[in-house]
Amino acid sequence: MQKEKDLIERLRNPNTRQEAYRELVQAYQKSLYFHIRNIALNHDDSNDILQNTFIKVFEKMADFNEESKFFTWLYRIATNEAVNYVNKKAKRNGFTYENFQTQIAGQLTAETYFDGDDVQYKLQKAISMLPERQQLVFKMKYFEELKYEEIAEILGMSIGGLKSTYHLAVKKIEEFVTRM
Amino acid sequence: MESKFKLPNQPKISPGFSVPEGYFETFPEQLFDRLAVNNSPVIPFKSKPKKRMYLAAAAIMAGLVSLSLYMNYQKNTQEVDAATLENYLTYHASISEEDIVNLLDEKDLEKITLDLNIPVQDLEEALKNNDNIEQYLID
Repeated sequence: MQKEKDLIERLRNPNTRQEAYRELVQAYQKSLYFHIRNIALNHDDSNDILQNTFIKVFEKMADFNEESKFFTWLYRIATNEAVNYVNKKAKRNGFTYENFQTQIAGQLTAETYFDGDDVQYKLQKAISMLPERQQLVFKMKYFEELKYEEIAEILGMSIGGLKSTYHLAVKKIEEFVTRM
Repeated sequence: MESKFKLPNQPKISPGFSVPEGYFETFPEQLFDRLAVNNSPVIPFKSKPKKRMYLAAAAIMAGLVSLSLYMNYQKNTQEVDAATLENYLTYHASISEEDIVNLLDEKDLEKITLDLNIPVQDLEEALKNNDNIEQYLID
């Protein structure tokens, strides 16, 4: 906690900002990358979104008001950047978010940076058929093992709503995979 | 009889994603190179006394051309309709939908409210056939 406070202070100080920013990137690049990758699915898009995320963090550092944890603030920016990026790409191609995700998930076996087996592929396909909100909640809970309290802060949802959403998502995934 | 897939009964399934070799080693420099380009300083402009005359003339010409273009624009400009604006923001803007929503106040929201007058029967039918109905109820 103190370490995080120190980092935030150094990020806000023009004299120490550059070095602090490098530390920030080193500390969070992996976890943010895989969080974004879970949403965007392919590496190239995820790389773009990760860069956009850190640039936005750099620009909006003054807006961080410490009402939320720094970690959840970072994840919120990353989630919004990823979802907006995917939505824009979907619209450009004439798809809804869900239809676009289903298409991308269906092509995962051809993706260079997907090493999954048959079960992993089916799970990704099943997830892609869920509504956008259920996809996000499921991925954050199941793959990333975030606590409900953390997901609630990141997505702006109630914990009760999250639990219901996750339960629904699991039920639908099980049905989809059984039918595949 | 098909055996039902049960997620809790499975060993933990990972997403299956990998990254190019050395990606996380090189990512920071990739990012800082991009930041350096975004934040390039303005190169100060220096000129010799003789050049200033030509530059002044060029500036006056540019001003006259801009003024005539501006007056022409004023004559021909039309208000952009909502659909065109929405499409532009969707495909070109780096601003997110959340950022746009945060800029709207009560009066703006009232202005963009549409009165659709959809018959209740049609609404019920649409909701009955919507796969996301349960999520809407939770939200």
